[in-house]
Amino acid sequence: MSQPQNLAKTVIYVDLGTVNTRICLFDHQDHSYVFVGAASAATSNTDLNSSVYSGVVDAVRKLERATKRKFLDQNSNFMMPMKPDNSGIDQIGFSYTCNLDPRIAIMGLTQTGSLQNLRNLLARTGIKPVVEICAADGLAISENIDRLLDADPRIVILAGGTEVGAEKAVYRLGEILMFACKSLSREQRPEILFMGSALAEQQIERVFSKITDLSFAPNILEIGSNDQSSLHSLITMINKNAQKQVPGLKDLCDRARTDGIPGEFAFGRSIRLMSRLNKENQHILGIDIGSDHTLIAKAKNLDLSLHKLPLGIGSQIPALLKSFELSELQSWIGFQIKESEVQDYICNKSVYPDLVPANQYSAQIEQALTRFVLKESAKETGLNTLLRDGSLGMVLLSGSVVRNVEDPGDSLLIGMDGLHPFGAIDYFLDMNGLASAVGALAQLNPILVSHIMNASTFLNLGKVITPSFNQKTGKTQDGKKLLNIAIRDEAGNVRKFDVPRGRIFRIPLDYGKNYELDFLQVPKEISIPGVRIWTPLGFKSGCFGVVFDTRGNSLDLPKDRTSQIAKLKFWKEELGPWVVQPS
Amino acid sequence: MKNSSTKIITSGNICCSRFLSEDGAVTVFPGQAVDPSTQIAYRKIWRKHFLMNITEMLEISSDENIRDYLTIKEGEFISVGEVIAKRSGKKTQVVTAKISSRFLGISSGSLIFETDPDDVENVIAGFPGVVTDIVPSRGAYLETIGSYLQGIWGNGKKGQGILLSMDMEKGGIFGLDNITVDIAGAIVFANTCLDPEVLKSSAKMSPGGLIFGSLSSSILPIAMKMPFPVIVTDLIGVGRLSDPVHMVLGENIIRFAYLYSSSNGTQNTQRPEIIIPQEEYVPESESLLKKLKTGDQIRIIDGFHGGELGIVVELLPGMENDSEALSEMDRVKVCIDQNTEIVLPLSNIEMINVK
Repeated sequence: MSQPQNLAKTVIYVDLGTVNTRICLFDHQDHSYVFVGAASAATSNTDLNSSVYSGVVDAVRKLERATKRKFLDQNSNFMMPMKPDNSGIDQIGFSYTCNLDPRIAIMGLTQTGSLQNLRNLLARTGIKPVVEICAADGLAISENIDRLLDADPRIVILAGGTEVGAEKAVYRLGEILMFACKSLSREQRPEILFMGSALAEQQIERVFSKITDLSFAPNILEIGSNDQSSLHSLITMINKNAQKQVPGLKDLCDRARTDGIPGEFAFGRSIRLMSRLNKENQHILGIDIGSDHTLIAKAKNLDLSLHKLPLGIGSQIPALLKSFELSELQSWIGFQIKESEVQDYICNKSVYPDLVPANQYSAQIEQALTRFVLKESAKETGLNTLLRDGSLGMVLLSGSVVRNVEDPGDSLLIGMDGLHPFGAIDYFLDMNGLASAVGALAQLNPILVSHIMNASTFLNLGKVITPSFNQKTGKTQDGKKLLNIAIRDEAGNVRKFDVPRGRIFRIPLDYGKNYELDFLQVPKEISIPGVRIWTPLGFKSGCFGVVFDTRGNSLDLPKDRTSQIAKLKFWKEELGPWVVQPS
Repeated sequence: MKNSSTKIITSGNICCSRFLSEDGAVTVFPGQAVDPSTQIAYRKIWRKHFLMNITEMLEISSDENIRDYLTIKEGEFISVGEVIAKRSGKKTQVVTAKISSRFLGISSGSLIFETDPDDVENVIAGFPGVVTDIVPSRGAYLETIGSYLQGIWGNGKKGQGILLSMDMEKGGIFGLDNITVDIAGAIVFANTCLDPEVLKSSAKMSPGGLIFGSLSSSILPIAMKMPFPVIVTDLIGVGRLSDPVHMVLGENIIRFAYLYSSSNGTQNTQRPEIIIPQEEYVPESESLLKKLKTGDQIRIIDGFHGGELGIVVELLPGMENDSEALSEMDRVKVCIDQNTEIVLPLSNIEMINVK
């Protein structure tokens, strides 16, 4: 295979999170990019005098020690390009989630025209507009000024008009924005991105260039929200805004010689790309649980739906606690603990989001919380249909809370309990924090992305088959045979199994091998959504082989604490240890 | 994310930052002495806008230029009863302001006014000190000399008072027997408080603030509702004041202490602070603005002319309908350029001190 001359031999990806900064290293070896290693350090944006770059330096220094290579010079600048002695790097890509919400307001002439296009454009980055101002809504200018100012936007996107007219209507819309800007002190004025009629550009520039920062992008009504130039203009605007908010981000851009991209967008792009690898017409669901927010990315055939929710396992825990009782959380913790102790841990965690669970007790509290993050996320993003109708084919779990587990089985159980989807679903775990790397590097180095997407970037936890049935009306008792199945390996060996009801029934298989599953006997009262039980189901085994979750439609725990603890322990034991991934 | 170290200064130079969460207007200058209530920076919006159809009110035709009839300029503050527009001639018409507001501009023959200014964010000094450095659009660093402690949790309130201690030999638990008149106006420190009812009852005595080594998370919601500042220094749970914290507080008993925590509760990244200046705080006898005189250079803090420099041309007395303000000047006429003179409230300008 010939190698392009300007191919980057060493690539670093930086993920600037709210709490941690993570560095991933990729090398080009034997005609292919490989993931070499990762390191992380605390994100260093404690106040305005600090810089996120110092956190990046700390993480890179750790990576230097781990790999016994040099990437930074004595002034803590990246050594670029790579030198013959293997020091330095050729390329850097980064994404960030350590910024505040960019609070984008959108203004357009019609709900179904320019505003719809703007909504679609923002949805590609997981952003919901803080306010929508529509010229056709019939409100007085004073009311629209009130609405715009109440939303306190950092960025306003103004659109409307075609290339053959309607510029006067755009001016009327612009007037609202002009008065809103005049009402604010210069420092508080939002940045403006004009995506409207080119005929109005000159006048818009004349008025707004003196008032605030103004950028132009092609008319979104003409080119549509799927156009790359609109997306590029939006990302550039968000980057500019983030560089103002996050101390040191601009410095990182300068030193890395690249602009980063918002982490939400990077994660969404990764999931979108992965939907291409998934079975056609099946959804992939990516969930990235962070300290301040959770990203839910759902994609099918490259069609992405991205949500950023204010739920997390750090400073946002108190907000999460509003949606359920502490006793509910307590019931998912597998040891005796008082509610007040759980609450104390949660409060301390919200004050110190970088707190690492130092023992199995704290780890279990966080894992219980994570189950509720998943439940709440599914509720808020309307995932319940997807989780019930069998159109979900794959789940990717990402974030330090699921990554930093002693046993990947804990992460699998979190996913199974928190989402409880019906059908046959492959669970993957982002063990190395690479989910956003794929999206962030897709533009910079598509070859690298294609190589790491082919390799085992994510840990395949296994296929989980969850039949749907009502526990109360079913004839079969818990522990008795519910299904009869057969598994055939690549050599043609067949093994038959009776799958009991009300259990987590795991069949250990060789990791990464192909198998076929035949449903020999399925009672009428149960269904396995999305699975054609009359034909063999082919799958690649994960580190838990194949798992049958026959606990029923609702996961009800016993009422008393001792039985709850015993149940959780039982489920964990049923899942068993994970098979070490072969080299 | 949080800073991984806790700052404790037993005695020495204290430097505190007072920043907005995002860009706004900074109202202090380097070298300025500040008192606890001095505003450092703010973000303000005008909540309500309304239209006034001046064409109808003046009974003029829609093709006439209404600017010819206006007696006010864009950005000007208008008081109740002040003349906004006037039509002379046979049929004299005068339009006056019904409510105090600011004139924003003209749209389709209507005047747009704004009222109900509201601080979206307001950062105050919280202790007496000196401004050492400004971070443009965000805030300032303040300094003083004394003792300083960072807590881990605060209820978002600010307060001050004489520092008092609970009887630590009895466990230092803040209980019902501690709620006496002695704690009125004082900053009291204790190891912990175990009973939410005790915390609620303490409000009757209006303490200046409470400092606890620990508080259980179940009591935090009650602490949040207290009208005075509550700061936890060491742990959310059950514990006591750590030795370094106890030592600093113990050494400063009967000194004046200032408690400061930003108003975002647990969402806030800035830690709550306890500041105990070495010198007794004496409020300034007069505000800097009272030294203002004709010919002084000022900067307009916000509004249409926000950020521009101007020269004071006249000091104006208070509004006629405000009897308390009659003797006090509260507005100022400022010349921005040859053609622009505007009247502004004193609080909307700042003096430019060049030393």
